[in-house]
Amino acid sequence: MAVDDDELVQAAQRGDEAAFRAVYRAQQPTLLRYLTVLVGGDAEDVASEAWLQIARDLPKFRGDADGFRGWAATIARHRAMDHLRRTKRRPVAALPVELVAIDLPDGQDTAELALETIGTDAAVALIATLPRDQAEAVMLRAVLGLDAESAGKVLGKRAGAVRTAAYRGLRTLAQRAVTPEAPAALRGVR
Amino acid sequence: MSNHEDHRPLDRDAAELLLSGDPAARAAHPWLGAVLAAAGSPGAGAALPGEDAAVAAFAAAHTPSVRPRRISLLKTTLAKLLTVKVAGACLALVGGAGGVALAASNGALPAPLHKAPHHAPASASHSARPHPSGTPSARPSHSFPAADFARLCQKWDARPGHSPDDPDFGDLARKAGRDHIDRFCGDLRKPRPSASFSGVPRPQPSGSASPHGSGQPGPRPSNLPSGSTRPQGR
Repeated sequence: MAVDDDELVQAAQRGDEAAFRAVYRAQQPTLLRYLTVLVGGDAEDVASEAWLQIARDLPKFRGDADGFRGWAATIARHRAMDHLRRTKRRPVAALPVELVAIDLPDGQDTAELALETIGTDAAVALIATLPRDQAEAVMLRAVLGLDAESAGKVLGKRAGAVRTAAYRGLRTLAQRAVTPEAPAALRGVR
Repeated sequence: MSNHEDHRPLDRDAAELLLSGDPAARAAHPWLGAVLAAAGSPGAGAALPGEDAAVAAFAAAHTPSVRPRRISLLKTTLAKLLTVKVAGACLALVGGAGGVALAASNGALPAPLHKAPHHAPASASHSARPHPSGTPSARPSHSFPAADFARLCQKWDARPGHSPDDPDFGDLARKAGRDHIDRFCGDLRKPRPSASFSGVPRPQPSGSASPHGSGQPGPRPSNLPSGSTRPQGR
């Protein structure tokens, strides 16, 4: 991770409000996407709860910017699990692909089009169609940028289990790429 | 479909490379590469909903408003006690009157210290007070220079129409002068345009001077009177 990010985290730990704001802006988008995979439309609310705790506990955090991302993801995940318990809901992962699919206009090279026009929300929605352990592994590693060990700490799993889950998730996503629904889904959600 | 590259079986090594954002792997698997790149794209860097709430929580957690004022008043009291009674304190120590001094500190001494935050005449004590860093305590980490006034100024700027007599801005009003807070805050902003966003931490005395290097804003106020005030007798 860039030295600048480490310094930002350190400055925020010393109470520098501008640094904290910069950390928030850097981290919140990907944290929100991860939470979307877990709690769907409640991600904003859960993220707010997570940031309250992050703001409060930041002085106790020890580590660099990489460590901070894992630490923040752990807090976000705990808040998400609390939220699911509170609302007695199941995680939203494993959403059926059809729910994000829309009609496909005829005569278009959908795959080419999809590659050019995949939006962030659509990509997250597609990942959210995976079983939750796979979706989480893919999100933590590819979106939050954690390595398998760090992602394993967030999930309470061994690094090998995280690698396997992410690998299976990518294989499933790759299969969905060659069906007409997936590109349509991507374009539709976006 | 036309996306022939993605028919290539994905092995574990390729998956690892894809997950870590390897450009060659993402080019070799354009579909997955595109999905992962889109999902992981950085944010716009602009203000986000919830940001102000998070920052407010951060400010509340990191700048308890009572702390700087209590410290400054404690230091004021300490400074006066030390300057006025330093001779007496030395005599008490030399004379082996430590027990008496301790007893005194347990009895009447706490009174001025604890009452000071509520009843000390601010005008007199603060005008007579030397600059914080020059107090006999000689602990730089106790001075709250730019950082806290910057925060106070942010609050000041964020609440137009407030009164300089608002206790929240008591420190600011004393520092800047009751009628010059706007100018003071304006001056405060000038020399530090956006240093924090570039990742350069502010030079805070507490960072270098703190004995533990913990990065905390400074020791608790209760650290101050202990020890240094005890020797002085009555």
